[in-house]
Amino acid sequence: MNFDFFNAGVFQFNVEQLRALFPFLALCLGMVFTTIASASKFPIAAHKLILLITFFAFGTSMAVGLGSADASLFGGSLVVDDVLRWVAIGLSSLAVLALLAVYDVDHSEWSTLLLVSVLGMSLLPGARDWICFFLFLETMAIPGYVMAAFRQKRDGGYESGLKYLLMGAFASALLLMGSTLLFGATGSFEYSTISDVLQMGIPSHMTIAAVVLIVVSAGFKVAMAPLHMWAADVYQSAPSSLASFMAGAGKLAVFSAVSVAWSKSGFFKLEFVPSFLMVLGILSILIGNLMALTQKSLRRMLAYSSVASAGYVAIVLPVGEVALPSIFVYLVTYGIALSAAFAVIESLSVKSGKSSSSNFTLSDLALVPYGKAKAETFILTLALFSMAGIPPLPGFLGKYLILSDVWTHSPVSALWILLGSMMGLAYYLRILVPLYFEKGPSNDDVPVKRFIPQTVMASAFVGATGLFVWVWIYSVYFVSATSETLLGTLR
Amino acid sequence: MNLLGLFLIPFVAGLLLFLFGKQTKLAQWANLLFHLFWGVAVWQCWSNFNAEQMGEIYWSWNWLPMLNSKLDLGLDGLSMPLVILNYVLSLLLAFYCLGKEKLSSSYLALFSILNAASIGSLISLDAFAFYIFWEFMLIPMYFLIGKWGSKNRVYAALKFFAFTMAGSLLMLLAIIALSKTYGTLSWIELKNAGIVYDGLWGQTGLIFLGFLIAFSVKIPIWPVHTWLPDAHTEAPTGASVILAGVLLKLGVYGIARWCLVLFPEASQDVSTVMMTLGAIGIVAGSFAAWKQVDIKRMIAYSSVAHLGFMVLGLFALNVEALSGAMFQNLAHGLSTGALFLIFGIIYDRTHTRKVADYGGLASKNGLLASAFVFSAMASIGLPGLPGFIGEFLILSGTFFTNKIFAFVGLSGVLLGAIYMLGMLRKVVFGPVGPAVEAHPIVLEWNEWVAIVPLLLLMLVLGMGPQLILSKSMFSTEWIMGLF
Repeated sequence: MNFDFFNAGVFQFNVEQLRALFPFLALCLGMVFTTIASASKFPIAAHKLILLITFFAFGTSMAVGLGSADASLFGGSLVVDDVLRWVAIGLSSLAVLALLAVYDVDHSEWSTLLLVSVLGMSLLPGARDWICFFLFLETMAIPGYVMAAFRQKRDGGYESGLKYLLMGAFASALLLMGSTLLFGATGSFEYSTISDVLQMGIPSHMTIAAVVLIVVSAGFKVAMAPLHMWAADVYQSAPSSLASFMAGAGKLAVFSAVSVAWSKSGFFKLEFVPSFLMVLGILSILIGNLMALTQKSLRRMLAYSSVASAGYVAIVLPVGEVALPSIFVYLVTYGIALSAAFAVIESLSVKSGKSSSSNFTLSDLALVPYGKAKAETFILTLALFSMAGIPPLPGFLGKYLILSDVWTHSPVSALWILLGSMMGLAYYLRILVPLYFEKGPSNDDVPVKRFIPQTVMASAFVGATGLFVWVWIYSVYFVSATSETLLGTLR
Repeated sequence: MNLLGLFLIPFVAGLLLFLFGKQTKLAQWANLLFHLFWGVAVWQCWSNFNAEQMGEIYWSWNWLPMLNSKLDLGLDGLSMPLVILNYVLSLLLAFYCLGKEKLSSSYLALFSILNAASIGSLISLDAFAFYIFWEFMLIPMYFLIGKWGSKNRVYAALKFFAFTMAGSLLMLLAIIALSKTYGTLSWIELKNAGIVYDGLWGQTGLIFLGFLIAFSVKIPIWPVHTWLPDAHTEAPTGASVILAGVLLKLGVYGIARWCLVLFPEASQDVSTVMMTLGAIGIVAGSFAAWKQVDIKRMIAYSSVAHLGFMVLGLFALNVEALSGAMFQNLAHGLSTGALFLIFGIIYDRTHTRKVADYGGLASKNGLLASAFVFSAMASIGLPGLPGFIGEFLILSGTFFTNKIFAFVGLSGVLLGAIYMLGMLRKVVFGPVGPAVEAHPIVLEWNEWVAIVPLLLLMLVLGMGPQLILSKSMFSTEWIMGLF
């Protein structure tokens, strides 16, 4: 941390740095416009249009910057590099899926909140000291608390929002405590300095406590077991588009940031960290999958499945920054499949006459008028097979990459991932049974009373196409591009 | 040779068939038309086929360089007969489907996609590509069994999916380990890389076991065979035929292609164990088949027994036994395929699988009964029919390696005759049973078109096995040259 923060020099930018900052300016401009739109009570379509343009500008400007030199900003506290750019591209894609699927929200501020959250998420992997990390994490999380409580009076919105807020605040406190202790032990907030100090000798008790606190706080944020208690309630009660966004994009941002931060701070060189993560990962895989097996509500089931997926990533984290491509591909494919699945569940619950998708259960699938929901069932099938990691769906690519990174690191833990994906198969396939094999009496003649906007299905559809075409090409390109740059820098 | 068309045509056809929606009749004829196009591709491969090579790559695309994977396609003596078998069975099933309301356009579409996946795994000479096709087969098969099967279909579909997936996940780890150790996943490059064998519990040995377990589940070898009777019994006729005719064969093919060639020393080490399991499979499968009261279940257990023969053939590790196993692959695909098809046609009318409900089929429909008896004879291995050639080659090869297994195998032939003839006695002959009594068993023209070529093919192969053996001889000798 540079304590001459307000001295001249820190805020003087050269052209390179301005260019690196430009995409974030686009996000901020979007925030201004969406605030105006909320204040002037514009219809929801106007919000969506503004967001689409913003995310398009954000994503493309990031893509244009790919391959250019790393820009170091604010005295080295923030570095805009290719990892950040790729994560930002992934985030804007997930955000587009989420915003398309937004409907039936009680408050128009969701658009601004979404933008703020994306701003925090995309800055997160660029942080190079723990203060910035904390700031960006809060920028990401605070809008999330609000969005989780958007349905105050319905579906337990208050309860889930409050739960999320308390848990999140607790996690933030742990992170602050951890980084403070780390500062005490090493005399610095900067990743590189901390890494140098940690390398010098046997870690003190203070260091160990600091690292444990930081790891646990990250575990809260990404819902790793046993710190996952909030996840199911939040995923069930928040508006579904926003919930799937916080689940998919939030994991992508936090995991890639954590991978960068922990490797650059030298955490993985401490002996206990890999085994600690391993325990958390195995617990997540077991608890997530077992709990998902017992769930009746589809959204809760998906919430627990995402606990398990956090476990897979936790196991691959100790490999270090080399594993970033795998983490990225896995979480982007997972996020897309999750968004598509949530959008489909929303649509199916409306078509089968339920008032909300929060309590849409496995047995409710029998009420779906299949003749009018062919697209939905097909997209849900693709999404589920992708999450289960069956080729040729791109979820398989993510699983393969994770497995192959884990393999080089510790072959035995690869077996846990295999076990987890076998367990996952059981509940993913179980959703398909009532959809295809045990259809109830045909409800096709019952008129559909409520309609949801086309955009919800558009989101699901874009997600499905994304799953098929886009992600393979994109991920493969990412794998080659990032592995080269990363390996280049590491050598 | 246009190998890309070989799996792209059925894949695209599958996607197109989905679009037919409720127009089942049109879809069924379109499906036949697609088979015609596909047939041109298959014919082109067959006529340009060079049997005097092994692992030659005819088409390659460097699709995932970061994963060490290239989409290498090739055809040799190991895969060619199975490609033909797959095509023939699928074409005849396309005829069988005509006019059956229940076999809608999505059924045909899934079937076509299943064909694309099975052909893809037969012709890909790269482990990653092979795995993608291999796993992809599960998705259409899951829906085929689960949606169009009989009463217990959901359970059977899930069991099928879970068993094969559990096996192939170990293969996935093995593939990852290969890629990390040797930097390539191409079959021929791996073979030339000279994989160093460090004992069965060393790294190479574990990689080998990963492959072996995946294929053993698919074959299936005793004791991991329990998914097969359920899947076979509950699956619709077409899926049963393809399951017996192609999917199980892919396990045998996989062992020959990936285990024997890449890990000859390891194969030698496990040969006794595998032959023991094969022999147990023969005896246990035969006895289980003997005791079945459900005809489809009986045919399924007979498959377990027959595949035990092929395991003997694979691990006897000599040219006779291996070419016998590859030939028996074809013979069993034809004879069991025919049994499932003919019984499926009967079942379409009677809707019961219990042996007790049958009897006196010969007096009701003599021609169909003859066809049934003919296929059963082929399954038993009567001289003049292909089952005999395969079993003879396998047993004589096994005899060189280990006389005890040869004798156990021989007892399997005897047991096969006992349970098959017992079933024939109750179903085809004897007093007319209630199910046969109650329903007229008259076949449509298209059903005859589906059955007759199968019988003719069996006769041709039984009389002139050289037709296929000459194509696969080079490959089997090449593989055995590694030992």
